[in-house]
Amino acid sequence: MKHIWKRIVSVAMAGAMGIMAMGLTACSDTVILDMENPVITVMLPTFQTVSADEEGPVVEEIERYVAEKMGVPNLEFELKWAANSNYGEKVTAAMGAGNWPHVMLITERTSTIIQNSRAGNFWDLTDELKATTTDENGETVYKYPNLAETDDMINHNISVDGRIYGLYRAREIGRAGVTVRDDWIDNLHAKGALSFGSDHINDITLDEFEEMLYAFKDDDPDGDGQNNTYGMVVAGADYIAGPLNNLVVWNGAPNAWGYSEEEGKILPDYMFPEYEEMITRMRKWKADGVINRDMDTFSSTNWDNPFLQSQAGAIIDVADRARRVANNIKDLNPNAVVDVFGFARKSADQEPVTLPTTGYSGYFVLPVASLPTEAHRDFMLKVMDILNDTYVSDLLNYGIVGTAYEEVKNADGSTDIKVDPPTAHYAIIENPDGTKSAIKSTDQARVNEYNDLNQFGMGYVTSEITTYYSTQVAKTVNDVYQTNKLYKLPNYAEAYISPTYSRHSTQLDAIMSSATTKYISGAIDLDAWYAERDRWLDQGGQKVIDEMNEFYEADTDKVTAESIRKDNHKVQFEEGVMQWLTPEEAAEFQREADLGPEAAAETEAPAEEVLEGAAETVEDAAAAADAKAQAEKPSMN
Amino acid sequence: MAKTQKAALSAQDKAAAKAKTWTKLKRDKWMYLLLLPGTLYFIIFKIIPMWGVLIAFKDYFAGVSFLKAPWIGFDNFIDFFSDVSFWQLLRNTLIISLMNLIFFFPLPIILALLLNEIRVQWYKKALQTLVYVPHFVSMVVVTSITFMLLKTPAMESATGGIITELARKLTGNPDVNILANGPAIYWILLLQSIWKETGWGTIIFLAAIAGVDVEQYEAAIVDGASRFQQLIYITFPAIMGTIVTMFILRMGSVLDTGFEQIILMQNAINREYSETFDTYVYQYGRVEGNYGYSTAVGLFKSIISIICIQTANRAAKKAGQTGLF
Repeated sequence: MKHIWKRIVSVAMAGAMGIMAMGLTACSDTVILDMENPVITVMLPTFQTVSADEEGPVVEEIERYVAEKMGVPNLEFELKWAANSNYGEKVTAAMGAGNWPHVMLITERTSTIIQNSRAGNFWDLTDELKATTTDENGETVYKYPNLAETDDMINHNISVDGRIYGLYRAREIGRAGVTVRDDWIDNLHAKGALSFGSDHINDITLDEFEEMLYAFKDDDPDGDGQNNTYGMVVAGADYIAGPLNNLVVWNGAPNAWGYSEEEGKILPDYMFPEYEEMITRMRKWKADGVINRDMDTFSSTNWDNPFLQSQAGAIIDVADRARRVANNIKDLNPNAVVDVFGFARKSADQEPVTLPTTGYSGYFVLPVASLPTEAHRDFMLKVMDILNDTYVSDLLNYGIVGTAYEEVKNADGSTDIKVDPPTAHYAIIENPDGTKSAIKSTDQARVNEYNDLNQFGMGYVTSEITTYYSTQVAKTVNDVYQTNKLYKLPNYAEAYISPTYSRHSTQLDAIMSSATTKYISGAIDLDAWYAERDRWLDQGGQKVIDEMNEFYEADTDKVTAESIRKDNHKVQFEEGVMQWLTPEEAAEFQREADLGPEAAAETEAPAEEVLEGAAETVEDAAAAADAKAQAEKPSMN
Repeated sequence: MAKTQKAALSAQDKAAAKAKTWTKLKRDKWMYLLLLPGTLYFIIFKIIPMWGVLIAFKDYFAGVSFLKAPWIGFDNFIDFFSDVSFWQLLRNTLIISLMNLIFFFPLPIILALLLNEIRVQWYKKALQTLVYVPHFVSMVVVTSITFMLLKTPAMESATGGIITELARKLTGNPDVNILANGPAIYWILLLQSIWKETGWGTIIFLAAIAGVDVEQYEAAIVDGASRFQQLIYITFPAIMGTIVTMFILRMGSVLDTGFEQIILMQNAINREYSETFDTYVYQYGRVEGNYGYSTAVGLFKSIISIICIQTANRAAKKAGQTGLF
């Protein structure tokens, strides 16, 4: 009998040990990259219910292409998908368990990420991105030609203590935009209730914007004789930042953080009088019913609904919202015309200001644990470089290209796109303006083969193919992006991570977004708002300001009013928009352009001499620039 | 008595006792075998992971080895207690928890007593089933229903949720927005819990009531006790033990406010009133990866829970009730 007892115990103990052993091995799954026969694990967020299978044709084609360029016989990607909703938590957990993939996307710059960057757990890529090497012809070329295309401002945005630890995923910078009901504007203009028509919205001022919102509410824009419309949908509380930040920036306040001349330091936007002025204006809009009454608790998930139901006439958010809204409103109201514009100006004689995005959505880090040597790092960087080839980025975004497509009308009125051959995912169509668009197969089995793969794209090199949209407004959205970029106002403190802020951001942000929402909705007055702002300072805000200013002082590449003006004016010059340039600026840009960028960089030291030499021609250049501006003007409208 | 017995044991007796234990073990071996999986479960999943508590005393972040992280003593605790949010978190946690204890805890008992008084069996059974239903409704759905009831209309000409409309009529204020009223969140959370869990909470009390000796009622009827007197003098004292047990258990989770419900109802306006230890630790500890800090908070909560359970247990014993242990 005794031995049975023993046996039971030993079996049970063995089982327990087994479970524990399994637990322990699960703890550390880090595999050092084998460069001869690479299997690259990648951690990515998913948005769809079915994400692309790594054995699927699109991933296999990418693997084949990368393997060939890397000169290895076989290369595999192992995609570790994690749901986007708790992706940040998954990243932290993976690092906590010492479970390092070879490439990992970081979506939030949490304190853990910062600590890991400082501790040297991610490769420092600052000196690698634009590293050069000598090719077989003895010429100096970029080691990673695609990675060299990365933008300095965005690299600065993702830096930690001035060092770059990742490869960002590029996103549209000039993405902000106002979606409006164009037909309403024209109706009101025709009635004489509005002083301008729909052709004026690209040149609108804040006062005109306000006039429009009031007309949307008071003057029956849909012409049904009922008082059933209002001006603009604003989502409150946690979501107030969207519309509010655009409005305050248009009004002259900074984008989140800006430099205050009086204080001589950088401060958050709510410390500026222009901010106060704008929220007071919004308070009036709210009281007059121009903004939705349920603003305080209106969630951004329902943002489109009042617009789609023809209750509200404007939404300030991202410009591409117009594309979706235009698509969806067709079924509900075939007469609705949706348009989009980028900004309103404080006054007609002032240069516009627009709210840019940070320019990126997360970045890829290369963990040292799984890529222990510089050879590993360089290997991985080369792979990431190849992934930026337009051939791969097209595969990631659209799948495999077919030769032809046809539209098939279904019995229920919907249209299906069939691509030939049936194993392909999209076909290319030529647009009237010569550009190319991808028209995607609607076969779900095909879509599933590249679903979510776009999460692996970085987009440093622009593909000639764009997604095909059938609406006119989709084209306007691209114009808005381009125009917005000319007048962007960067956040002075984007790159800095204040320890106090990363610690208390939820609480601190809640104080101000709650106070501002309450002030706009009329629940508290300006004095109470000031009191809340003081509370913000007390609860850590003052410390945040101090810390941010320490970073700002120490930054050798800091954002200043001068640097913003120079950057924007340079882009304006390149795009031929001369309206806001001084003749001197125009001349300097012209001279730089004549010399070519490399030459300009080389002659940086003796620049003064050149300047003096160029001084005589400044006036000539200015005249030329003016003439160019005149010539370009019509195309701007 | 146990003490004196032990003291009286001589070495010989001890040896005898040992042999006796062994025979007992042998005799009940199948019982012990049955006990084994449960014991293993507690050892593997509850006792062994306890060493992880050490993290609370280390400067650890996800990405360094747990063993290599430096010891920092009570820094995480000091950090937590000196946190500007600490008092706010404590206040919210206690208010939400105590409101639950005062208003919600008695309700299942009352409902169970009421249900017990129903004499028509099919009606009683039907009602009982009905009151269980909300327990099976997901919290997400409960939240959506709440939002629908409390919705403020976008325009003056539109209508909102039924409760908001009522409040608008009663107060004459067209801008009523209950969801944008900070402290109202306490009541909303309480009412949600009551609606969802009261019925389910009756189960244990109904079971206790079912166990009351029928003869006692018969004797009371002979003595001429009314239905109400039977309830007060027989049923209620009979289930008092269960009530006390439930109360002591409830005291153990006085700092647990639940997480899902609050996260779902939270917005920037009510965050000042709805942020509790659980939600804060989720955000700062788990999402941001400050495991040491969140372990320290967890440890603090466990210590408070033990104190609460012990206190409640002693108080119950003093009051003449049988405690939990």
